[in-house]
Amino acid sequence: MADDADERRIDVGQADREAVLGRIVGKVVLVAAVLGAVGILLGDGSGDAIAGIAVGAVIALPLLRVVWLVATWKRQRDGRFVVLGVVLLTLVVVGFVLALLRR
Amino acid sequence: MLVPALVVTGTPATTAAPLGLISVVAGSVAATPKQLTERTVNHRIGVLTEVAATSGALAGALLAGSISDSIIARFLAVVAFIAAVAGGRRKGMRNKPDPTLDDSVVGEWIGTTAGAYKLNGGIVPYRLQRLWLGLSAMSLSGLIAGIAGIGGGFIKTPATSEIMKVPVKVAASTTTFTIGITSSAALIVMAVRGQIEPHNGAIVMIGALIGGQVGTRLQGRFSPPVIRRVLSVLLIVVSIILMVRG
Repeated sequence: MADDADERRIDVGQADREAVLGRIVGKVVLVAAVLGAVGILLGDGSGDAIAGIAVGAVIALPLLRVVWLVATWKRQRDGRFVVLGVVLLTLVVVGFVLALLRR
Repeated sequence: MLVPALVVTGTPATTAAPLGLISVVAGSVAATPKQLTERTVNHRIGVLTEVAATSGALAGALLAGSISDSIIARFLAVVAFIAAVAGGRRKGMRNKPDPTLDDSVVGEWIGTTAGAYKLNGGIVPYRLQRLWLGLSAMSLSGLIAGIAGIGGGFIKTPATSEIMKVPVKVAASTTTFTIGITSSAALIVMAVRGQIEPHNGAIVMIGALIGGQVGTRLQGRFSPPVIRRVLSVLLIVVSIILMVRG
């Protein structure tokens, strides 16, 4: 298994970039949790708005991560996976449009 | 498991479904920093399998309503039980540390669905196998998720680990990443439809963020066979719940 040294092509800067991404996600999560807690405590219309922003930020993160991956793979000249990433994002958009049309 | 619990306690299914998906996204996002640091997520495998799963989910969403809930629940129960037995029966570790490898190869390998991860000081290489069978299983999991409105992670992790022979730690981390994408896409649609209630959504989100952090730290402390056994027990619980609901 995996005995071909040529196959083990690693982007040496990728670990650092993923660590930075991890720290950014961690900070967004912390801010979202605090905002969510504030929204719950306020409880009125403005509280709902703050809680909605917090939940929305968390919902957006996985799709933004795919966009980040596509940009990373493009930089690494990994064309097949760039295409796959774009196909995945397109499928998400198609699903969204289909759901809107069937509303 | 949140959705059945909410429905059993009187929450309407239309309210429970988005709350369940918020818990999935929040758990996925909470696990991200630790998993990125450990480099156990293989994003290439994740995106590849997610294309198949999302295609299946779209087809499932279009088919939704034409198959009865009872049949779907019983089918899911059988799938969960088979996955539990497959994971629980296997002894030891399939992918062993390779003493000839060093830290420089840890991560996912460019242009491939292979990679390596650290385990107990050693470096374990792996390569995705039986691609088409695995993609078929992912499409099926997506189809079921689209029809039944569930995350499908309990099918994806065993399919990645047992069919495509990816180490269970990498399979679990990668599935955590992919179910976040599926649930996020579904929640955007629900948000447009006005199905998300921010107050309850925030409560569930905070709970899942805490749970996701704790779960990821616990995962790092246990060996792959222990994780596999815990997963098998959870799958049997899911199977029983689905059979009872069906």
